[in-house]
Amino acid sequence: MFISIAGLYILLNADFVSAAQILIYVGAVNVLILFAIMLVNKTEAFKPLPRRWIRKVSTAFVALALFALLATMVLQTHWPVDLTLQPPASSVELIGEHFFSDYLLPFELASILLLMALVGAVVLARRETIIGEETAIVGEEPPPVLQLPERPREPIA
Amino acid sequence: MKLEFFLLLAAALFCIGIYGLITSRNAVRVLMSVELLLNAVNLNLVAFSNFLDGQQINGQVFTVFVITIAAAEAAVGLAIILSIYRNRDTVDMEQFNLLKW
Repeated sequence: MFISIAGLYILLNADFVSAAQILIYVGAVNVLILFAIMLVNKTEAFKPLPRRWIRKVSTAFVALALFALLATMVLQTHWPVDLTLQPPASSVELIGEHFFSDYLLPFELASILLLMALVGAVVLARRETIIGEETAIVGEEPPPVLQLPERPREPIA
Repeated sequence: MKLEFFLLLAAALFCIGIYGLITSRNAVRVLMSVELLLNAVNLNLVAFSNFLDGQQINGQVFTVFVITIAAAEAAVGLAIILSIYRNRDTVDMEQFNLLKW
């Protein structure tokens, strides 16, 4: 699906965005989702909820109604499309000029946000290990440590 | 190639994403639905940028920003899901009541 959306971007004369889509979505986000599926790999029978079908039906109704609304809006509006203009020769240069002239502040803010997300993800996902509690037994062979010493964790509530 | 086709496709993607976001009970599926929503928005932005703003492609710049934010969101969301899964031993959205009073 991500790759097909990248193909649509190429159809829309957006080659840089298409490359970014392939690199980021197919390369990074897909791998993240696969890691999530792998790490949370438990076939879990969810408890059946009472009146769950009401939620499903109402959500389907709302989604279909929203789609109908958007479709009528799209089809009824007269879009001032001007097909005589030629697309710019290189969208990469234009995007670069935008980034370093009038979108400079959002660009820098995006870099800071990426750094914050990186640090936050590491802090959230790391295991809390116990440091400095090795047993010092002289003369005996220590048992092979197969995993990091992890602080015992009791599930919350 | 018309603008309406892209807008209709983006609207359909958005509605599927909303349906999956609300009805799915697995937390990973919720994350995937959010990605679907962001992709629909990106498609809209690029379509408008091509058809209505063909010379100054501001929409593509916005799309790059949205992709950046989406990557950060995916990373943080995955970390949150992992942390909740380790503490609660479930990925059921109905049992996440940490922020309820």
